[in-house]
Amino acid sequence: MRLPILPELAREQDVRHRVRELRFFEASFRRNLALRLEDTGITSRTDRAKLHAAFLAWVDNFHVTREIAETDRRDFVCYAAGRMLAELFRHSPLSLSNVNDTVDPDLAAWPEGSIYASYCLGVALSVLKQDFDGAPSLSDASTDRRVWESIRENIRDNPDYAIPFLDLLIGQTPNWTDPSLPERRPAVRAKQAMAA
Amino acid sequence: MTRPEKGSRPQFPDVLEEAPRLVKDLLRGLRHNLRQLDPTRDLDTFAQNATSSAFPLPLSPLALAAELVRETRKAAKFGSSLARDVIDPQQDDALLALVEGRDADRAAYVQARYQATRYLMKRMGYTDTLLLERPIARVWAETALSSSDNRANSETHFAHLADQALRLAQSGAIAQSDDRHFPFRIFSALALAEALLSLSPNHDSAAVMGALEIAAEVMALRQGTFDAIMNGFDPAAALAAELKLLAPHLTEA
Repeated sequence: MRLPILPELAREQDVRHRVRELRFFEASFRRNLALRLEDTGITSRTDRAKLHAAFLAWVDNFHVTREIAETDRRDFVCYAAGRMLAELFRHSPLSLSNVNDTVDPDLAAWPEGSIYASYCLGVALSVLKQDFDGAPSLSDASTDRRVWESIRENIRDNPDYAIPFLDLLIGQTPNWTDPSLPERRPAVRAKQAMAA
Repeated sequence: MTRPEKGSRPQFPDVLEEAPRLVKDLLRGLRHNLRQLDPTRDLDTFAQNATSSAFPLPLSPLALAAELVRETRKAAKFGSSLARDVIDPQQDDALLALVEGRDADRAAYVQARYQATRYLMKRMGYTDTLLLERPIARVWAETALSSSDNRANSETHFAHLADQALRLAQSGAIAQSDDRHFPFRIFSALALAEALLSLSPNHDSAAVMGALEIAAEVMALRQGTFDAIMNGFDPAAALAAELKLLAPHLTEA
Protein backbone atom coordinates (compact mmCIF):
# COMPACT_ATOMS: atom_id res chain seq x y z
CA MET A 1 0.00 0.00 0.00
CA ARG A 2 1.34 3.43 -0.94
CA LEU A 3 1.75 6.00 1.85
CA PRO A 4 2.91 9.08 -0.08
CA ILE A 5 2.23 11.45 2.82
CA LEU A 6 4.81 9.70 5.01
CA PRO A 7 7.97 11.52 3.78
CA GLU A 8 6.19 14.89 4.03
CA LEU A 9 4.96 14.24 7.57
CA ALA A 10 8.46 13.11 8.51
CA ARG A 11 9.64 16.66 7.80
CA GLU A 12 7.06 18.14 10.18
CA GLN A 13 7.88 18.56 13.84
CA ASP A 14 5.75 17.06 16.59
CA VAL A 15 3.14 15.41 14.37
CA ARG A 16 1.59 13.79 17.47
CA HIS A 17 0.41 17.16 18.76
CA ARG A 18 -0.06 18.98 15.46
CA VAL A 19 -2.54 16.46 14.11
CA ARG A 20 -4.82 17.45 16.99
CA GLU A 21 -5.22 20.86 15.31
CA LEU A 22 -8.05 21.10 12.80
CA ARG A 23 -6.09 23.15 10.29
CA PHE A 24 -3.12 20.78 10.23
CA PHE A 25 -5.44 17.79 10.06
CA GLU A 26 -7.38 19.23 7.13
CA ALA A 27 -4.30 20.38 5.23
CA SER A 28 -2.51 17.04 5.63
CA PHE A 29 -5.66 15.09 4.76
CA ARG A 30 -6.08 17.07 1.54
CA ARG A 31 -2.38 16.75 0.74
CA ASN A 32 -2.53 12.97 1.14
CA LEU A 33 -5.57 12.89 -1.11
CA ALA A 34 -3.79 14.89 -3.81
CA LEU A 35 -0.69 12.70 -3.61
CA ARG A 36 -2.70 9.50 -3.61
CA LEU A 37 -4.72 10.49 -6.69
CA GLU A 38 -1.83 11.99 -8.62
CA ASP A 39 -1.77 10.72 -12.24
CA THR A 40 -4.70 8.37 -11.66
CA GLY A 41 -7.40 10.28 -13.52
CA ILE A 42 -9.65 9.91 -10.46
CA THR A 43 -11.45 13.09 -9.44
CA SER A 44 -12.45 13.88 -5.87
CA ARG A 45 -14.73 16.10 -3.86
CA THR A 46 -14.23 16.64 -0.13
CA ASP A 47 -17.20 17.74 1.98
CA ARG A 48 -15.56 20.20 4.37
CA ALA A 49 -18.34 20.07 6.96
CA LYS A 50 -18.23 16.28 7.07
CA LEU A 51 -14.44 16.31 7.35
CA HIS A 52 -14.66 18.75 10.27
CA ALA A 53 -17.43 16.68 11.86
CA ALA A 54 -15.16 13.62 11.69
CA PHE A 55 -12.37 15.61 13.35
CA LEU A 56 -14.61 16.95 16.13
CA ALA A 57 -15.96 13.46 16.85
CA TRP A 58 -12.37 12.25 17.08
CA VAL A 59 -11.52 15.12 19.46
CA ASP A 60 -14.46 14.19 21.70
CA ASN A 61 -13.32 10.59 21.89
CA PHE A 62 -9.71 11.65 22.43
CA HIS A 63 -10.64 13.63 25.53
CA VAL A 64 -12.75 10.79 26.92
CA THR A 65 -10.06 8.13 26.41
CA ARG A 66 -6.75 9.98 26.76
CA GLU A 67 -6.20 8.78 30.33
CA ILE A 68 -5.64 5.29 28.92
CA ALA A 69 -2.59 6.66 27.13
CA GLU A 70 -0.78 6.66 30.48
CA THR A 71 -0.78 2.86 30.45
CA ASP A 72 0.82 2.41 27.03
CA ARG A 73 1.44 5.52 24.94
CA ARG A 74 2.64 3.64 21.87
CA ASP A 75 -0.49 1.51 21.79
CA PHE A 76 -2.66 4.60 22.29
CA VAL A 77 -1.15 6.15 19.15
CA CYS A 78 -2.39 3.11 17.19
CA TYR A 79 -5.80 3.30 18.87
CA ALA A 80 -6.14 7.04 18.17
CA ALA A 81 -5.20 6.54 14.49
CA GLY A 82 -7.74 3.72 14.25
CA ARG A 83 -10.36 5.93 15.87
CA MET A 84 -9.65 8.64 13.29
CA LEU A 85 -10.10 6.05 10.54
CA ALA A 86 -13.41 4.99 12.12
CA GLU A 87 -14.66 8.61 12.19
CA LEU A 88 -13.67 9.12 8.55
CA PHE A 89 -15.66 6.05 7.60
CA ARG A 90 -18.57 7.16 9.78
CA HIS A 91 -18.77 10.70 8.34
CA SER A 92 -17.60 9.80 4.83
CA PRO A 93 -16.34 13.21 3.65
CA LEU A 94 -14.90 11.98 0.36
CA SER A 95 -16.61 11.26 -2.96
CA LEU A 96 -14.58 9.96 -5.89
CA SER A 97 -15.42 9.56 -9.53
CA ASN A 98 -13.73 8.26 -12.69
CA VAL A 99 -12.26 5.33 -10.76
CA ASN A 100 -10.56 2.96 -13.18
CA ASP A 101 -8.60 -0.28 -13.09
CA THR A 102 -5.26 1.23 -14.02
CA VAL A 103 -4.49 2.37 -10.47
CA ASP A 104 -3.15 0.45 -7.43
CA PRO A 105 -5.18 -2.67 -6.66
CA ASP A 106 -6.33 -1.37 -3.24
CA LEU A 107 -7.28 2.00 -4.72
CA ALA A 108 -9.26 0.32 -7.52
CA ALA A 109 -10.97 -2.10 -5.13
CA TRP A 110 -12.05 0.44 -2.51
CA PRO A 111 -10.88 3.98 -3.35
CA GLU A 112 -12.33 5.90 -0.38
CA GLY A 113 -11.25 3.22 2.13
CA SER A 114 -7.78 3.10 0.66
CA ILE A 115 -7.35 6.88 0.90
CA TYR A 116 -8.68 7.12 4.48
CA ALA A 117 -6.45 4.23 5.54
CA SER A 118 -3.35 5.64 3.80
CA TYR A 119 -3.83 8.93 5.67
CA CYS A 120 -4.33 7.40 9.12
CA LEU A 121 -1.49 4.91 8.62
CA GLY A 122 0.76 7.75 7.45
CA VAL A 123 0.03 9.75 10.60
CA ALA A 124 0.41 6.74 12.93
CA LEU A 125 3.73 5.66 11.41
CA SER A 126 5.04 9.24 11.49
CA VAL A 127 4.25 9.59 15.18
CA LEU A 128 5.68 6.16 16.01
CA LYS A 129 8.86 7.07 14.14
CA GLN A 130 9.21 10.49 15.79
CA ASP A 131 8.28 9.64 19.34
CA PHE A 132 8.75 5.89 19.81
CA ASP A 133 12.09 4.95 18.27
CA GLY A 134 11.00 3.91 14.82
CA ALA A 135 7.93 2.80 12.94
CA PRO A 136 7.04 -0.79 12.07
CA SER A 137 6.63 -1.95 8.48
CA LEU A 138 3.13 -2.60 7.26
CA SER A 139 2.04 -6.21 7.61
CA ASP A 140 1.31 -8.52 4.66
CA ALA A 141 -2.39 -7.97 5.34
CA SER A 142 -2.06 -4.51 3.82
CA THR A 143 -1.72 -6.04 0.34
CA ASP A 144 -4.24 -8.85 0.81
CA ARG A 145 -7.35 -8.04 -1.17
CA ARG A 146 -9.45 -10.45 0.94
CA VAL A 147 -8.61 -8.47 4.07
CA TRP A 148 -9.80 -5.25 2.42
CA GLU A 149 -13.01 -6.89 1.24
CA SER A 150 -13.64 -8.28 4.70
CA ILE A 151 -13.14 -4.99 6.47
CA ARG A 152 -15.27 -3.17 3.93
CA GLU A 153 -18.16 -5.47 4.80
CA ASN A 154 -17.57 -5.18 8.55
CA ILE A 155 -17.31 -1.41 8.52
CA ARG A 156 -20.73 -1.15 6.91
CA ASP A 157 -22.17 -2.66 10.11
CA ASN A 158 -19.90 -0.86 12.55
CA PRO A 159 -17.28 1.77 11.55
CA ASP A 160 -15.41 1.09 14.81
CA TYR A 161 -14.03 -2.08 13.21
CA ALA A 162 -11.62 0.31 11.51
CA ILE A 163 -9.67 0.32 14.79
CA PRO A 164 -8.68 -3.38 14.84
CA PHE A 165 -8.26 -3.22 11.07
CA LEU A 166 -5.60 -0.54 11.43
CA ASP A 167 -3.98 -2.60 14.21
CA LEU A 168 -3.82 -5.53 11.83
CA LEU A 169 -2.10 -3.48 9.13
CA ILE A 170 0.37 -1.96 11.54
CA GLY A 171 1.22 -5.22 13.31
CA GLN A 172 -0.49 -4.46 16.62
CA THR A 173 -2.67 -7.18 18.20
CA PRO A 174 -6.28 -6.28 17.26
CA ASN A 175 -9.23 -6.30 19.63
CA TRP A 176 -12.16 -7.50 17.53
CA THR A 177 -14.50 -7.96 20.50
CA ASP A 178 -14.64 -4.40 21.87
CA PRO A 179 -12.99 -2.34 19.15
CA SER A 180 -13.97 1.06 20.55
CA LEU A 181 -12.78 0.47 24.13
CA PRO A 182 -9.10 1.34 24.54
CA GLU A 183 -9.00 -0.13 28.05
CA ARG A 184 -9.82 -3.56 26.58
CA ARG A 185 -6.98 -3.57 24.09
CA PRO A 186 -4.55 -6.49 24.43
CA ALA A 187 -1.49 -4.23 24.89
CA VAL A 188 -3.21 -2.22 27.64
CA ARG A 189 -4.44 -5.32 29.46
CA ALA A 190 -0.98 -6.86 29.29
CA LYS A 191 0.58 -3.74 30.82
CA GLN A 192 -2.09 -3.63 33.53
CA ALA A 193 -1.53 -7.31 34.32
CA MET A 194 2.21 -6.71 34.64
CA ALA A 195 1.64 -3.78 36.98
CA ALA A 196 -0.78 -5.74 39.18
CA MET B 1 -29.46 66.80 45.94
CA THR B 2 -27.63 63.53 46.37
CA ARG B 3 -23.95 63.29 45.57
CA PRO B 4 -22.66 60.36 43.59
CA GLU B 5 -20.94 57.78 45.76
CA LYS B 6 -17.19 57.94 45.92
CA GLY B 7 -15.65 55.79 43.22
CA SER B 8 -18.84 55.44 41.22
CA ARG B 9 -18.88 56.45 37.56
CA PRO B 10 -20.37 59.84 36.64
CA GLN B 11 -23.75 59.38 34.95
CA PHE B 12 -23.65 62.30 32.51
CA PRO B 13 -20.96 60.99 30.11
CA ASP B 14 -22.71 57.59 30.05
CA VAL B 15 -25.94 59.25 28.97
CA LEU B 16 -24.12 61.18 26.25
CA GLU B 17 -22.40 58.05 24.99
CA GLU B 18 -25.64 56.11 25.16
CA ALA B 19 -27.65 58.56 23.04
CA PRO B 20 -26.33 57.54 19.60
CA ARG B 21 -26.88 53.87 20.46
CA LEU B 22 -30.44 54.64 21.50
CA VAL B 23 -31.12 56.37 18.18
CA LYS B 24 -29.47 53.61 16.18
CA ASP B 25 -31.41 50.90 18.01
CA LEU B 26 -34.67 52.78 17.43
CA LEU B 27 -33.88 53.04 13.73
CA ARG B 28 -32.97 49.37 13.64
CA GLY B 29 -36.33 48.53 15.21
CA LEU B 30 -38.09 50.71 12.65
CA ARG B 31 -36.19 49.15 9.78
CA HIS B 32 -36.96 45.69 11.11
CA ASN B 33 -40.67 46.49 11.28
CA LEU B 34 -40.61 47.90 7.75
CA ARG B 35 -38.98 44.73 6.48
CA GLN B 36 -41.60 42.63 8.21
CA LEU B 37 -44.34 44.63 6.52
CA ASP B 38 -46.05 42.76 3.70
CA PRO B 39 -48.06 45.46 1.87
CA THR B 40 -49.47 43.05 -0.69
CA ARG B 41 -50.90 40.78 1.97
CA ASP B 42 -52.18 43.58 4.19
CA LEU B 43 -53.73 45.61 1.37
CA ASP B 44 -55.22 42.63 -0.43
CA THR B 45 -57.23 42.04 2.71
CA PHE B 46 -58.18 45.71 2.81
CA ALA B 47 -59.19 45.69 -0.88
CA GLN B 48 -61.37 42.64 -0.44
CA ASN B 49 -63.14 44.25 2.49
CA ALA B 50 -63.58 47.48 0.54
CA THR B 51 -65.14 45.85 -2.55
CA SER B 52 -67.60 43.92 -0.43
CA SER B 53 -69.08 47.12 0.98
CA ALA B 54 -70.54 50.21 -0.72
CA PHE B 55 -67.79 52.78 -1.38
CA PRO B 56 -68.81 56.40 -0.88
CA LEU B 57 -66.60 57.94 -3.59
CA PRO B 58 -66.39 57.15 -7.33
CA LEU B 59 -62.87 55.70 -6.90
CA SER B 60 -61.78 52.15 -7.30
CA PRO B 61 -60.59 50.77 -3.94
CA LEU B 62 -58.44 48.24 -5.80
CA ALA B 63 -56.63 50.95 -7.78
CA LEU B 64 -56.01 52.90 -4.60
CA ALA B 65 -54.75 49.82 -2.85
CA ALA B 66 -52.40 48.95 -5.70
CA GLU B 67 -50.96 52.47 -5.67
CA LEU B 68 -50.55 52.34 -1.94
CA VAL B 69 -48.77 49.00 -2.21
CA ARG B 70 -46.30 50.44 -4.73
CA GLU B 71 -45.57 53.53 -2.63
CA THR B 72 -45.25 51.62 0.61
CA ARG B 73 -42.90 49.11 -0.94
CA LYS B 74 -40.71 51.93 -2.32
CA ALA B 75 -40.64 53.59 1.10
CA ALA B 76 -39.79 50.34 2.86
CA LYS B 77 -37.01 49.59 0.41
CA PHE B 78 -35.58 53.08 0.68
CA GLY B 79 -35.82 53.06 4.46
CA SER B 80 -34.13 49.71 4.68
CA SER B 81 -31.24 50.68 2.38
CA LEU B 82 -30.80 54.00 4.14
CA ALA B 83 -30.76 52.38 7.55
CA ARG B 84 -28.28 49.74 6.44
CA ASP B 85 -25.88 52.28 4.97
CA VAL B 86 -26.16 54.89 7.70
CA ILE B 87 -26.54 52.98 10.95
CA ASP B 88 -25.18 49.54 10.10
CA PRO B 89 -22.25 49.85 7.73
CA GLN B 90 -20.11 46.72 7.57
CA GLN B 91 -16.99 47.63 9.54
CA ASP B 92 -14.46 44.83 9.41
CA ASP B 93 -11.91 47.02 11.20
CA ALA B 94 -14.20 47.23 14.21
CA LEU B 95 -13.93 43.45 14.55
CA LEU B 96 -10.25 43.77 15.46
CA ALA B 97 -11.31 44.87 18.95
CA LEU B 98 -12.45 41.29 19.57
CA VAL B 99 -8.76 40.51 20.06
CA GLU B 100 -8.57 42.96 22.96
CA GLY B 101 -11.20 41.03 24.87
CA ARG B 102 -12.31 42.77 28.03
CA ASP B 103 -9.57 45.38 27.77
CA ALA B 104 -11.43 47.16 24.97
CA ASP B 105 -13.22 50.40 25.85
CA ARG B 106 -16.99 50.42 25.73
CA ALA B 107 -17.38 51.78 22.21
CA ALA B 108 -14.88 49.33 20.72
CA TYR B 109 -16.29 46.42 22.74
CA VAL B 110 -19.85 47.10 21.61
CA GLN B 111 -18.98 47.70 17.95
CA ALA B 112 -16.81 44.58 17.73
CA ARG B 113 -19.45 42.33 19.27
CA TYR B 114 -22.27 43.92 17.30
CA GLN B 115 -20.43 43.40 14.00
CA ALA B 116 -19.29 39.89 14.93
CA THR B 117 -22.78 38.87 16.06
CA ARG B 118 -24.28 40.21 12.87
CA TYR B 119 -21.71 38.26 10.85
CA LEU B 120 -22.45 35.04 12.78
CA MET B 121 -26.22 35.46 12.37
CA LYS B 122 -25.83 36.02 8.64
CA ARG B 123 -23.44 33.07 8.34
CA MET B 124 -25.99 30.88 10.12
CA GLY B 125 -28.81 32.00 7.85
CA TYR B 126 -30.56 34.58 10.08
CA THR B 127 -30.58 37.80 8.08
CA ASP B 128 -33.87 39.28 9.29
CA THR B 129 -33.33 39.04 13.04
CA LEU B 130 -33.21 42.31 14.95
CA LEU B 131 -29.93 42.95 16.74
CA LEU B 132 -29.49 45.86 19.18
CA GLU B 133 -26.40 47.60 20.56
CA ARG B 134 -27.59 48.94 23.90
CA PRO B 135 -27.96 45.53 25.57
CA ILE B 136 -24.36 44.75 24.52
CA ALA B 137 -23.23 48.00 26.14
CA ARG B 138 -25.02 47.00 29.35
CA VAL B 139 -23.13 43.68 29.38
CA TRP B 140 -19.84 45.61 29.02
CA ALA B 141 -20.81 47.73 32.02
CA GLU B 142 -21.68 44.61 34.05
CA THR B 143 -18.46 42.77 33.31
CA ALA B 144 -15.74 45.27 32.45
CA LEU B 145 -14.79 46.13 36.01
CA SER B 146 -14.74 42.61 37.40
CA SER B 147 -11.25 41.26 38.00
CA SER B 148 -10.15 38.28 35.99
CA ASP B 149 -7.18 36.30 34.82
CA ASN B 150 -6.75 37.30 31.19
CA ARG B 151 -4.30 34.54 30.27
CA ALA B 152 -5.68 32.86 27.18
CA ASN B 153 -5.54 29.31 28.45
CA SER B 154 -6.60 29.92 32.04
CA GLU B 155 -9.74 28.47 33.59
CA THR B 156 -10.95 31.93 34.53
CA HIS B 157 -10.59 33.21 30.98
CA PHE B 158 -12.88 30.49 29.61
CA ALA B 159 -15.24 31.07 32.55
CA HIS B 160 -15.33 34.78 31.72
CA LEU B 161 -16.13 34.09 28.06
CA ALA B 162 -18.91 31.67 29.06
CA ASP B 163 -20.34 34.18 31.53
CA GLN B 164 -20.27 36.91 28.88
CA ALA B 165 -22.06 34.60 26.39
CA LEU B 166 -24.83 33.89 28.88
CA ARG B 167 -25.24 37.55 29.77
CA LEU B 168 -25.39 38.54 26.09
CA ALA B 169 -27.90 35.77 25.34
CA GLN B 170 -30.14 37.01 28.14
CA SER B 171 -29.57 40.72 27.45
CA GLY B 172 -32.16 41.14 24.72
CA ALA B 173 -29.52 42.10 22.14
CA ILE B 174 -31.14 39.55 19.86
CA ALA B 175 -34.55 41.03 20.36
CA GLN B 176 -36.93 38.70 18.59
CA SER B 177 -36.51 35.01 18.02
CA ASP B 178 -39.00 32.18 18.01
CA ASP B 179 -36.25 29.76 18.99
CA ARG B 180 -35.26 30.33 22.62
CA HIS B 181 -31.91 28.55 22.04
CA PHE B 182 -30.92 30.85 19.20
CA PRO B 183 -29.35 33.76 21.18
CA PHE B 184 -27.36 31.29 23.30
CA ARG B 185 -26.04 29.54 20.18
CA ILE B 186 -24.98 32.79 18.55
CA PHE B 187 -23.23 34.21 21.62
CA SER B 188 -21.61 30.85 22.37
CA ALA B 189 -20.19 30.93 18.84
CA LEU B 190 -18.93 34.43 19.57
CA ALA B 191 -17.30 33.20 22.79
CA LEU B 192 -15.65 30.36 20.87
CA ALA B 193 -14.31 32.82 18.28
CA GLU B 194 -12.90 34.98 21.09
CA ALA B 195 -11.31 31.92 22.70
CA LEU B 196 -9.65 31.00 19.38
CA LEU B 197 -8.33 34.54 18.94
CA SER B 198 -6.93 34.65 22.46
CA LEU B 199 -4.95 31.47 21.75
CA SER B 200 -3.85 32.48 18.26
CA PRO B 201 -0.61 34.37 17.57
CA ASN B 202 -2.30 36.07 14.59
CA HIS B 203 -4.49 39.06 15.31
CA ASP B 204 -5.17 40.55 11.88
CA SER B 205 -8.49 40.81 10.01
CA ALA B 206 -7.99 37.44 8.32
CA ALA B 207 -7.47 35.74 11.69
CA VAL B 208 -10.62 37.37 13.11
CA MET B 209 -12.73 36.37 10.11
CA GLY B 210 -11.25 32.86 10.19
CA ALA B 211 -12.12 32.50 13.88
CA LEU B 212 -15.71 33.65 13.28
CA GLU B 213 -16.02 31.32 10.30
CA ILE B 214 -14.85 28.24 12.18
CA ALA B 215 -16.95 29.15 15.23
CA ALA B 216 -20.08 29.37 13.05
CA GLU B 217 -19.27 26.05 11.45
CA VAL B 218 -18.65 24.32 14.77
CA MET B 219 -21.93 25.69 16.09
CA ALA B 220 -23.77 24.25 13.09
CA LEU B 221 -22.09 20.87 13.61
CA ARG B 222 -22.62 20.75 17.38
CA GLN B 223 -25.93 22.54 17.78
CA GLY B 224 -27.34 19.68 19.84
CA THR B 225 -24.43 19.83 22.27
CA PHE B 226 -24.82 23.57 22.80
CA ASP B 227 -28.59 23.31 23.21
CA ALA B 228 -28.02 20.63 25.85
CA ILE B 229 -25.54 22.92 27.62
CA MET B 230 -28.14 25.69 27.74
CA ASN B 231 -30.76 23.32 29.14
CA GLY B 232 -28.35 21.82 31.66
CA PHE B 233 -27.83 22.38 35.35
CA ASP B 234 -24.95 24.86 35.11
CA PRO B 235 -24.73 26.33 31.58
CA ALA B 236 -21.87 28.70 32.45
CA ALA B 237 -19.61 25.93 33.77
CA ALA B 238 -20.55 23.56 30.95
CA LEU B 239 -19.95 26.19 28.29
CA ALA B 240 -16.59 27.12 29.81
CA ALA B 241 -15.60 23.43 29.76
CA GLU B 242 -16.69 23.09 26.12
CA LEU B 243 -14.69 26.18 25.12
CA LYS B 244 -11.64 24.84 26.93
CA LEU B 245 -12.00 21.48 25.21
CA LEU B 246 -12.53 22.80 21.69
CA ALA B 247 -10.45 25.95 21.40
CA PRO B 248 -6.94 24.43 21.42
CA HIS B 249 -7.91 22.07 18.58
CA LEU B 250 -9.38 24.81 16.41
CA THR B 251 -6.80 27.54 16.86
CA GLU B 252 -4.61 28.59 13.99
CA ALA B 253 -1.04 27.65 14.91
